[in-house]
Amino acid sequence: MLEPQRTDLEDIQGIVYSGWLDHPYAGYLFARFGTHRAASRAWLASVAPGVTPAARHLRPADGRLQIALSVAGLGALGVPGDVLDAFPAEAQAGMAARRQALADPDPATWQLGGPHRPLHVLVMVYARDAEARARALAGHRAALHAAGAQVYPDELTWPVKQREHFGFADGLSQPFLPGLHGAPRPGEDRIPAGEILLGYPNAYDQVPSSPTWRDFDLGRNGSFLVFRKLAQDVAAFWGWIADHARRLTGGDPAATAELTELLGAKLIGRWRSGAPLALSHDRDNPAFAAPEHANAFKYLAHDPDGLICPVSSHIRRANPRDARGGTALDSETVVSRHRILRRGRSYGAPLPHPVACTGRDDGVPRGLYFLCLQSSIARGFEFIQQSWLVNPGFGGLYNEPDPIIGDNRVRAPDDEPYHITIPAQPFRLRLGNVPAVVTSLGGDYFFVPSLSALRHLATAG
Amino acid sequence: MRSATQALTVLAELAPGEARARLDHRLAEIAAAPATNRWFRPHELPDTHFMRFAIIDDPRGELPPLLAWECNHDGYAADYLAEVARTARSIETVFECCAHYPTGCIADVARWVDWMMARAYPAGAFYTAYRGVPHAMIVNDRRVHAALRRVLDHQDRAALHGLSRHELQRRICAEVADRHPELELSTDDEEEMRWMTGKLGAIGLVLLLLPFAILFGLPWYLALRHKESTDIASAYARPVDVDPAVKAIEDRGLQNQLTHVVDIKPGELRLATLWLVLKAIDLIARVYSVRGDLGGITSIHFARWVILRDRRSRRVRRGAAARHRLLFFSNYDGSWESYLGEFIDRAAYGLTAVWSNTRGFPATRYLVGDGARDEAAFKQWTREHQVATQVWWTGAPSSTVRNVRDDIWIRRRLDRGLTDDEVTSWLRRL
Repeated sequence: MLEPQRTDLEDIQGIVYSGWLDHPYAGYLFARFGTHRAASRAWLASVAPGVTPAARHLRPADGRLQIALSVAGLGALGVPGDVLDAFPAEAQAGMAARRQALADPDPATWQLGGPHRPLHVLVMVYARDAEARARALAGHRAALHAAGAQVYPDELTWPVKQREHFGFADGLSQPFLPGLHGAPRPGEDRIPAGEILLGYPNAYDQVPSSPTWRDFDLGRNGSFLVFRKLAQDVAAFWGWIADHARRLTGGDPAATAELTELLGAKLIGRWRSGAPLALSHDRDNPAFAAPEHANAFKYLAHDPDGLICPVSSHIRRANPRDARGGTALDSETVVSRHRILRRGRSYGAPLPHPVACTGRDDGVPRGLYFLCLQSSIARGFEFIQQSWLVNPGFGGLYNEPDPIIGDNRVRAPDDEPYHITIPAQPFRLRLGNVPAVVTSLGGDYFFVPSLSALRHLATAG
Repeated sequence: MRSATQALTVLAELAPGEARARLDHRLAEIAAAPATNRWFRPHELPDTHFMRFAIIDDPRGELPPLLAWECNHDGYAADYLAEVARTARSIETVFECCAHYPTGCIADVARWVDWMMARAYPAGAFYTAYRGVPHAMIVNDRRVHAALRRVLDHQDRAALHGLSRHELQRRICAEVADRHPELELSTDDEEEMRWMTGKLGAIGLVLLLLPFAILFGLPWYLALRHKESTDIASAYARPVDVDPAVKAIEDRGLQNQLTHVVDIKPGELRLATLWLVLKAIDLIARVYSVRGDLGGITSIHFARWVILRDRRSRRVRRGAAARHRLLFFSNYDGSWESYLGEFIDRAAYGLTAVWSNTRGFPATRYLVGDGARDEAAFKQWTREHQVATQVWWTGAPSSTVRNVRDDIWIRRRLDRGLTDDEVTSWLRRL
């Protein structure tokens, strides 16, 4: 079977199908199961029927519920070690163990997960209003508690907006999965279902192996989920840019404001409206923010040196398209083997843009719950994070990690501090004193089982 | 310039008894504090690009454990070793743990060189992204590039914008020459022509061997196809338990390393095929892929395969087949996952042609088909035969292959009458 069939849509969890943006209020509940396995399984049996599938006719009018389990959580439910051993090594190890590869801060300092707070289960609730979300979360908290689980504090998203906290339109670039999504929307590129879901051929035309327990394929129609809580220091980001703009323009306020916008766009690769630099070179043009434009561009043919969209810009690193190296086709082949579905949402109240540009923070915690789905975390999230985003040698650059994701507190091994290069004629601009604007507060790797696998896990023990 | 960037592989048997524990302990201390430990400080080595120590154990316990010293250095091996004996004598604290090592012999340079050379194995194939470029030049050129960039950063941008591109280049170069008399700014070494003779020689060699290839080709091919249908190949089952020591030193920074040891399939046919494939790759690496690009892979600094023949007598083996092994040492940019991905995406033919002659490799067709293209099985097989590297040292830790080549390109074009396009391109790379 090359792609999911109609019946599979009744089995696949809805989060693979959609980020449920029509439900603006999301909440995440993390828990560690108790030692009484039967109680944990009984909890799972009670909650499984309410989990939202991808199939439209089975979705309720209001409210969405998705469940993810870490490999440790599967163990706590009674899945034996030899079955757990068949999960990919990175999923077994968990995110904290991968800290070196991901350039993450010490897990002992994390708010979420890490050595002192094992995460077994993640309950994701999506609601149309804040009250419904609060009710749903309270219900799950009580039920988990009754089953002997230790439940961690609620993680609540800010209501969906089209902008993330740095002020840029987000969620514009998503791959299209045949069989799962009806027809590709403008600008969406098609990837094999097996890049996201287990049980289908992936980009290498192979069906990845899948863990089996008591003659039941646990993996099929499931997906791996990365959950990260990333704090964003919005004032540090824009304040740093505005400082450079002020220095370069000699302090003229109008010119400084204009250059601040341009430099911000150069660092991200898009203007704040979402219009890509590749299409709108000098100023923001919201007409190009529409999805049919926002993805319709390549780098290699028109901008190999990054004079328009810098090689170091965040979107060019996160998806280098045809400019990863070698020929355009080589590059697109490589890039097609590292695709993920993004399902992130913001938390915390936004900081108004003019305030951010003064560089003065209001002290309100804010950031991004980064969520992404893939059939292999090593080849998906970890690869993108490690080889493209935090790699200071990406694309022939020198000592230059991603301007927002790269941990700029870590120094290069030799004398030179990190810089961000913005190519220009006749010579480039280099921005120094790069601040650390995104800090991981923790998270973990989870498995999003199919609905039938959830039922099997609840009853097979 | 044949003497620049050579591959030295010394393989020495460990001394019996507690020498192993002593060596483990010393290598761990060296790895923990390479610059300050009390045993051996790799930075004292002369003209060295990369080096490693890895202990190669036999998982089946039949073959004695070996200490591997993999070294990528400038100059002829004997000259280099003599220089090591003079500048980095403390390396003896490592080799002391090997069998038959005459302790203190490093004081007698000639004797030490002889002992090492007796244990030096030739590489079956050796690739480097910058053949013929001495380490000192790499270090110098990176400093030159950094100095040029600093000049640009500290000058008044508006004033520079008023200059023509040629004037701009002249200004920057003059400033660097002025501020950094210690840097070598000469532009007169050219590598371009050097490879022409090699290429012509290679074509001649291929033509010379063609009749033999036609004569022996068909029987060889039929025998190989038979072997492929009967060999035992691995298919992906589940993740293997990776040695924590392998993981601990992996994915650490810009550059990484891989040490891999696997048994060659039994029989002379496989050994001969492997030898031939390696020779072909070595030839390509010497005369064709000389500019940092091996069949589309641009992330390998140095890599080598070494065939290690089983020297045990038939009596010692108790009649069992000889266990020849294939060693692979690589120094590359980026993560393990990206390196293996490049192997699969870009070099599956070559790698399959090599490793299909070794045990357990994923099933192949026609020597180069399938094999490494089975992504999950290939990665698992690589993991199964990966060996922990106890000490790994790099002489230019913050340079990717691309950086090294860009640095050289820029230094070669310092202020010397470039065309308009060249100057534009030069300024763009700063």
